[in-house]
Parts: sequence; C-alpha cells; structure tokens
Amino acid sequence: MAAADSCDGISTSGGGWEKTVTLVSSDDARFEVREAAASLSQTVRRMIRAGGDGGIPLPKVDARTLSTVLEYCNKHAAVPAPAPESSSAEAAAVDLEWFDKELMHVDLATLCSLIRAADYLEVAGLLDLTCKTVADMIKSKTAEEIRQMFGIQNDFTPEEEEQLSRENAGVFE
Amino acid sequence: MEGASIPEDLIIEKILPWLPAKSLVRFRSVCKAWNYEIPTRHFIELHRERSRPKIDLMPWMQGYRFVASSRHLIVLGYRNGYLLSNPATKDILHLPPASWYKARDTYIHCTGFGFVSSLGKYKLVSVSFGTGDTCTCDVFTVGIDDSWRTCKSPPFPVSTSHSMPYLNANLHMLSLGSIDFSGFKDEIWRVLLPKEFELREMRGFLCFVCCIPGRTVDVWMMRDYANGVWSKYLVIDGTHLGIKKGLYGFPLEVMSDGRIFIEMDDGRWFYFDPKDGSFQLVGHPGRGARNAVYAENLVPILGF
Repeated sequence: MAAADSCDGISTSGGGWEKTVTLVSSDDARFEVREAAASLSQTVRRMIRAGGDGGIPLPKVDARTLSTVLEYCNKHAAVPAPAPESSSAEAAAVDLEWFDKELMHVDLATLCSLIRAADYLEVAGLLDLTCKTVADMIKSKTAEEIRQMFGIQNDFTPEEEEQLSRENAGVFE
Repeated sequence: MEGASIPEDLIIEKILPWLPAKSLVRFRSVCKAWNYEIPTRHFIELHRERSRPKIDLMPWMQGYRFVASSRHLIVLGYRNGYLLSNPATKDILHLPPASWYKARDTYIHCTGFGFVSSLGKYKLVSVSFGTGDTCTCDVFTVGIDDSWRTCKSPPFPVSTSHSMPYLNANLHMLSLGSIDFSGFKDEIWRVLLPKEFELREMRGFLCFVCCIPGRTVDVWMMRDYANGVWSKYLVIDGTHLGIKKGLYGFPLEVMSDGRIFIEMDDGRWFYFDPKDGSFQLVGHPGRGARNAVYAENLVPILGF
C-alpha cells in the first residue's frame, strides 16, 4: 500500500483512528494533518499516492500561507457528505459559509499568496473562494487602479487608449 | 505594497471571470493582454459559467412583448417576429419574419431557444399551431440562417402554454399526451394530476413544477440528467401565502442566497426562504408584468 509510506503518524479524532500526513513548507515548517484534509489538495493527494517518507515537501508555499490553506482544508474536510435537504446539512452549509467569510478577512497581498498556493496545491474550493473575493474587491476600480494593484504596465499608446475608450463607450452607458 | 504578485495568467483565467460584464469592458484598457483575452470565446465561456442569474422586470415597450429569457439572452416578440437582446452588451438583433406571420390560420405559437455550444451559436425553435391541430416547427440559427427553416414537427402534441427550457444541449417541452393521467372511479373520469404545472430551469437543472392551487408547490429536479432521474427538490406550503382558492404560483429561479423567487398568477412576487419556510413579498406589479431570468454575459448575439 503506497499510501502507508508517507503516513507519519496516527491520531485519534472523534473516537476513531485517522491517518495523518506531514507537509513541509518552503521555510521548513512541518504540519501534521489528517490525510482526509490534506487530500483536498490534488497535488498532495498525488504525492501521497506516489509514496515517500520524511513528509511531503511543498517548496512553493511558506508556513504562514500553508497554515491558512490547512485551516481551510481541515474545516471543509470535517463536513460529512451531506444528506441532501436535511436540516443538519443546511446548518453545516451556513456554518461553512461563515467560516469562509471570516477566512477571507485579509489584505490583498495575503489573498494573492493564497491564490498562488491554492493554484499550486490544486485546492479548487479555496481557489474559487479567494479569486471571487479579489474580484469583489476590484470590480468597482478604474483601469489605472487595477494597474497599480497588480503592478501591470500600461502598454497602450495614448492613441490606442483613446480609441479603446471610444469603442467601449458605445457598449455601456 | 507595490503590486500584488500574481502571475498574469492566474489573474485572467481565475479572477477576471468572476467580474461583472461592465467591469470587464472597462478593464479591457488595463493592458494589451487583457484587451486581447477578454473578448475571446474561451474567456467569454469561462465568464458565462460563473455568472449567476438574476431577475429583471422587463420594461414595457410599445409593440413588443416579452417572449422568453434564458441565462444568456432575452427574446422579445413583435408583430413581425422576434427581437433578441443581450442587455449586458446592449446587443440587439431583429430576426426575419417567421413563417407563422404569413400563415393566417396560425393561432398560437411558442418559442424555445438556447446557446448551442458545439456550434457557438444561438438557435431558436418556434412551434406554431394552426386550425385543425396542425403544427409547424421552424428553426433559426442566429448568425448562420437568413430565414427560418421548417423542420420536422414534434411527434407529440406540444403543450402551448408552457415554457421550453433549453439546457444540456436539448430543448425541453411538455407533451400534453403523456401527462394526462386520469382516474376512472364510479364511472366518472377525473384528471389526477394537478392542473397547474410548468417546466423550468433552476440552478442549472431541469425542473418540473406542480402546483395545487391554494395549497402546495412541488418542485422535482432532474439532477441526474444522463439517466433521466427525477428527485423531489422542494415542497412549498402555499397556504402561508394566504392565497385565495384557485390561485397558483411557480418558482422562477433560486437566487445566490438560496431564496427562491416565486411568481403568483395574480401578479404578486415572493421570495421563499427554504431555510425557515418564510415568505417575503417582493412586489405586486399586477398581471402581465413579466420577469426575465438572465445572467450577465458577454456572448455576442451572432455567436462566435
């Protein structure tokens, strides 16, 4: 069983035995997590399957970012497969929504680190959540404000810029 | 900090598709890469997948009537035929007169339409009924056809008073034949099915709504489209609506906060919150006011 090779420890939770894995951040911090939570990351899931010992190295994610990602994974993996339309499933969904909202109370730089991490680790839910949050932050900004936020160079000539704003003026009031 | 660092492709592929259409048009002037990517079919489809439907009250326009809407487009009818509109891009297109305009004995027609992904085009189907139960079916592919093409009529009597949701590359319509379950008791035939029913697209699924006037609204959802399996999605206890006997209502769409928009046949609109079963009156515009369910998108009317 390949999965057992990377399995560093076993912990108890909720009365049952659960497999855990160790993830190692770019700055060498070690995180022990339940395998079910870590597997929300497709990247980690593949590495667990591939096996190996001494923990799973994640050289593109620092400790601070990884701890937030794992906070997300732990919470979302804890939710049992919802029995559709039951009131407890409804309550769990509301609780998760609150948790997600709280987790997104961070500055743009932190959000950007989370987006890069979620993309690299392939945590689809977190990637959507963070990207939606950034989209909400920027939707009312001007083009110039966007350039400043993301450090984008304006590569239009003044003539091109003027033509573009003329074209777009017709589309939206 | 100067410039949050995210690779450009992540911004374009993952963040921008969540933005409203208006912001996207403005952001085309951020840089050349954005100006190039935003109008591409790939990006417009990414954006369309994420766009959530909202409900717009259709403004009354002289000579036009609201025919149907989908998540993508609004169809208006006028004397000679159809007018298509994408409110997000302000794109408008008049279609050539449909065949039913010339046919004098045609008394009723209904329309279904949708965006056919494989073609990258919108397609409309107009089913019209003449005297003596004759039925004609016309098709128009926007951006390809110059005129309506007559095609094979449906092999069953199509219900004229119900909507035709287009999803999963199929146009869905109710057949009158298959839903007339009757009971024969004490030598009297009676219809066992509730009188009021409707087909809807809600949350991206095909839904069958049954309403027992003054009592309940049941919503069945085809969650498993491949196998054609219906499951009960929702039961709304209509007695709380204080509806008079004989009144009925249909849910239009599930909003992003989970509430369900319901249109009553007396012209009142409600939000129903399935979390606590409460109702909230949204408005009472009266009969005839029409709502369009529409999700903002940048799809050109002529297609790709």
